[in-house]
Amino acid sequence: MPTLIVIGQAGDERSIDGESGQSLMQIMRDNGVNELQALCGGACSCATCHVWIDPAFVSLLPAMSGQEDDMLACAAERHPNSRLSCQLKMSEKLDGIRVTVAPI
Amino acid sequence: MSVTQQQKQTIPDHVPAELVRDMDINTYAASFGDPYEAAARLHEGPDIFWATTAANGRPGWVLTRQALVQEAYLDPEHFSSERADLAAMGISWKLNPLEFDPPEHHKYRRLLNPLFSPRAVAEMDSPVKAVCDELLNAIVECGSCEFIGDFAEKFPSYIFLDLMGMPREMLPEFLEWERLLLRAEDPRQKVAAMMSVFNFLQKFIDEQRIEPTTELMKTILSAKYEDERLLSNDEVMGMVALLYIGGLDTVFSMLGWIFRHLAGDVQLQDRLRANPELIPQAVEEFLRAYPVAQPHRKIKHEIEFHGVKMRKGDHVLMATFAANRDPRAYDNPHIVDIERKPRLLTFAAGPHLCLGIHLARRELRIVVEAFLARCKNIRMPAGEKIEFHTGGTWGIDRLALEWDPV
Repeated sequence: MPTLIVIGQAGDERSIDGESGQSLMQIMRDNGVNELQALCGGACSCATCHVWIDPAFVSLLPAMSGQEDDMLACAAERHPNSRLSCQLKMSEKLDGIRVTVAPI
Repeated sequence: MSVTQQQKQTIPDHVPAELVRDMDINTYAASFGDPYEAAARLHEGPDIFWATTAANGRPGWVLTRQALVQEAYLDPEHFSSERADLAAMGISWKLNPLEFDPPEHHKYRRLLNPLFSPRAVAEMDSPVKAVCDELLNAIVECGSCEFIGDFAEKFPSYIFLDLMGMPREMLPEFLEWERLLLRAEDPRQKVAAMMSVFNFLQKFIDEQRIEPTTELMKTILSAKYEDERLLSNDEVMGMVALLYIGGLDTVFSMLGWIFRHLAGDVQLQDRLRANPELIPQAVEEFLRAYPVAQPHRKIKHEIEFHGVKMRKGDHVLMATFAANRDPRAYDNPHIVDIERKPRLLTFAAGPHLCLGIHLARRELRIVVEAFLARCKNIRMPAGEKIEFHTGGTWGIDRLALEWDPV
């Protein structure tokens, strides 16, 4: 089972076992990362599942859609490694990926 | 409950008899002293049933469970928002982007998102606080009020005018139109009031085209659809009208339920006054327990949804009052517990997640904090009862309150 490492806004770090095929957002929500609001439930419609991706993993991710780009444009602290976690699916290739919950 | 022969004839043949309930959801809920009690009753029955009157005066499916409502909201392919409810009034435009499905939906929604992002809403704090204080100043010395008429009902019109940059001179007319729109017994008066609002909004848009006076109107009027062309008048009208309607009875209804609840729990008032950092989570729990909007969808393509065959054209009620009190999703769902920090369907989910969610939450927090800072022992006078309505939104129509100065 690939592992997701989540860093909270306070800097706290935890490892979560994720299932391949599940969105990173879903894995985080299912494992009690409540500060990730994910208000729209994963429809790329709210920008509140915003995470900063460990730069080492950024190039392994699928390209961002126009809609994800639009949503991130409204985000409070957008950086080049910003992604919406509801748009990223866990896989073995992403084992050990570190993501930081971004402020909304 | 039996179903009369006549009603049997209006039940489509794909609806199994055992799932039919001869009931008007709104009348049923209104028969309780607190309409949200209807949720518990519905949960004694099937997760999905067919009500002879479900939403908008029409028969349809009722989704009573949190997981089902969530799933339907995330499936706009089947559960469509495509409609033109105002067409009956001779209106050519659709509420924008409310009455659109993906992919069109996002093409419009993306133009409005930056105006209501958490960052953008943070800048609205001052005008919202100013309106709240202005209305509260007028009543706080009296030690009593009819909260809906004296505060809650006025609040959205004041906010809308200020946010849109419309002149305060329009306030009395807006309040009158709002009153008729939401409360007139005669549907023709409601329609006339709505037309008055829309006529005013059209004039306002025409003036703003010549000289935009707010960032909001500048953004809408210079926005490019698919980065190619400016919005048409119908599209602009659809957006401005939705901005008016969206924050209207939703916000004032929510204020009614919140203050009704607070009036019954002085301990909670004291706790929130002493610990205002708890107000945001208290507001979230109030939003869960007393969801105001009861939206509906229409089936666009046939689907078998959790064992129930739904045909194209079927209406579906997203019974948020029931979903938010689903014991499968929430322990002791009928208890308001500010430690709960719940997930909510109050603002929907999926692409139509309420555009105003961040603004609404802030407005509610600001009002609760302002009242608690200046009023203690808020209560309903002895013998007073609330009056409320159900329907597309559920709201309190009359809430007599009294309090002591802090």
